[in-house]
Order: sequence, then C-alpha cells, then structure tokens
Amino acid sequence: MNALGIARLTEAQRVALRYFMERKTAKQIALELGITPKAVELRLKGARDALGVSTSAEAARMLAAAENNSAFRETLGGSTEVADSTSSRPYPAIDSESGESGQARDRKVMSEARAAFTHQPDRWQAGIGWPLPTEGNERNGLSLGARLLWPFLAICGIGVSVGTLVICGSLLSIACVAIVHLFH
Amino acid sequence: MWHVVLFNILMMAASVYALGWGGAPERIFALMTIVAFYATIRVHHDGFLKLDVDLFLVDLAFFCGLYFLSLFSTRFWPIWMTALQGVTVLSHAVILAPVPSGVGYAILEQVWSWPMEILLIVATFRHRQRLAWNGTDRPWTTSFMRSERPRLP
Repeated sequence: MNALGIARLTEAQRVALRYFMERKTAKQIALELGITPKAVELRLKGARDALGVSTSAEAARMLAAAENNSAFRETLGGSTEVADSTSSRPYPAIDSESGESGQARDRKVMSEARAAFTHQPDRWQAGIGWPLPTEGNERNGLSLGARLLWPFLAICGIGVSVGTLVICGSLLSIACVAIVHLFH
Repeated sequence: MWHVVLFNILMMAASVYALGWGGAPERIFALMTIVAFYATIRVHHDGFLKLDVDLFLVDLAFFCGLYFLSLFSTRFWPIWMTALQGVTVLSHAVILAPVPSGVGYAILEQVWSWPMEILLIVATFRHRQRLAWNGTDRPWTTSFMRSERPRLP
C-alpha cells in the first residue's frame, strides 16, 4: 500500500477517484461536480502521479483499499443497482466468505472487473449508425453492413464537401476580381 | 519544396508516436503508411503529367489494406482514413479529364495525406486517454459476426 501517496491525494482527487469507481465517465463526473471534463482528467492524472500508477482504475483501487470503503466492494462485487444505474458492464460476484485478505480480494475483484470490461461485447448501434464516438460509446459497434458501407459514404461526403468548397472559393475569387475591376 | 520537408517531419513524428504509444490498429496503420511512402518513392518518377499507373496501384493497395483494417477495428478512425485514401485513389481520375491539369493532379494526389497523419496523432492520443481511463483498450472486434445484437421482446 502506497500510504505516502494516499496521504498526498487532495480531496478533489479523492472525489474524482470515488466517482471513477462508480464507472462514471469524465463527462459524467464533470457534470456532477460542475467542472470541465479536462479538469476531471487533470485530477485523475494528479492522483495517478501521486500514487505512482499508470491507470486510474489502479489508483481508484488503491484509494478504496486504503479507505476500506465498503461501497467499493459492493460496486465491484455484484451490486446490480449501482451497475445498472451507471453502465451495462457486467460485474463478477465475490465470495465474502472466502477468507482472503482485504487487499488480495480487492486485487482479485479488480482483475475480474477489468477482464469483464475487456471481454465485454461491443454495444450495437441501431440501423446504419454514425462512424463517430459518442458519450458512453467510445467503441465502434457498427454492424458489418455499416462497416462495409461507411467508407464509401464518407468518400462521397468528402468529395461533395471539397467540391462545393472549391466551387464557392472560385466564385468568390471571381466576384472579388470583378469588384476590384469595377472600382478601378 | 518546403511542404515536402514539413510533411516528412509530420509523418515521422506521427509514425514514431503511433509505433511507440499506439495500440495495434495505430501501429499497423503507421507501418502501412511507411511502406506506402517508400513504395511511392520507388514507383513515382515522371511528375504528374500523365496517369501514373504504378502510383495508382500503390494507392489502391493502401486503400484495400485500410478497408480491411476498418472492418475489424474497435476504433472509428480507420473508416475515415479509408475514406481519405479512397479520395486519393479517385484523384487519379483528374488526369483523365478533357483538359487535364498536372498541378491539380499533384495537389489532389498529395493533399489527403496531411489530414491522415494528423488523424493518426489524434487517434494515438485518444488511445492513450482510454488506456489511462479504463486500464485497457481492446483493439479488435468480431462481435458483428456473432450476431450479438440484442433481441427485441
């Protein structure tokens, strides 16, 4: 346990980490706290630096373990209420009677939660969908048909946009030249 | 020629960033870019005065590679990279116009590489953000093949 690192965490960083453990995104945390998503990311980065870890998940786990936060285990340990209200990510159940030490159990739970997240099926987008990341859906969950079709639709979009821009630019430059000739 | 030097610096920076800090799709794209860049240097000798078939084939192969990448990636950016490369492939048609323009051919052939390199840097940066946030960033998906679409009640 990095006790010195935990002690160095500011209250703002702790709050951000607690929200993070509730599977909230930076935007959701920012909305809750009335700050910008960038500020949330900075707080999480500060927390990671203070604890000497590379991921926010690890930092949140360390804080939760340090605070002996029972909500942490509930969140990861099968509280469907919390899981359902924040995201559809599956959480594995833990056996509280297994006799493992708190830290070892936290580590096991964190590893299982991470594995569940890693192998979580991608969320399907209805219809053809948009080939852009949206809030809460960073991954490309487009169907095969949409994946096959979108590059060609995008080619048409880029072609039409650039063509329109070039034509408008040409007309504008012609108009400018005509105006200059008119006044001379 | 300053734009060539500037582009080379941009491409080198984007490739190093993607190869060093990117996920599998970013790294593969960076490698494909480098291969396509050197293939272009080797096959292109005659300026842009007539249709360069070898250059067209290099662009087409790069397009096909990107299209394949976009089918299996969990990222959205390969779709846009494929589209930009598709426009590059179509740009060869400019030289077949009734009044061909060598300058127009040259510009349309090269201009799309700039947003592609910038997009690669953004993609790698966002990958690092997801990695810091989630602790993991799965690169590939085949879930669209397994029919995991939720059933309607």
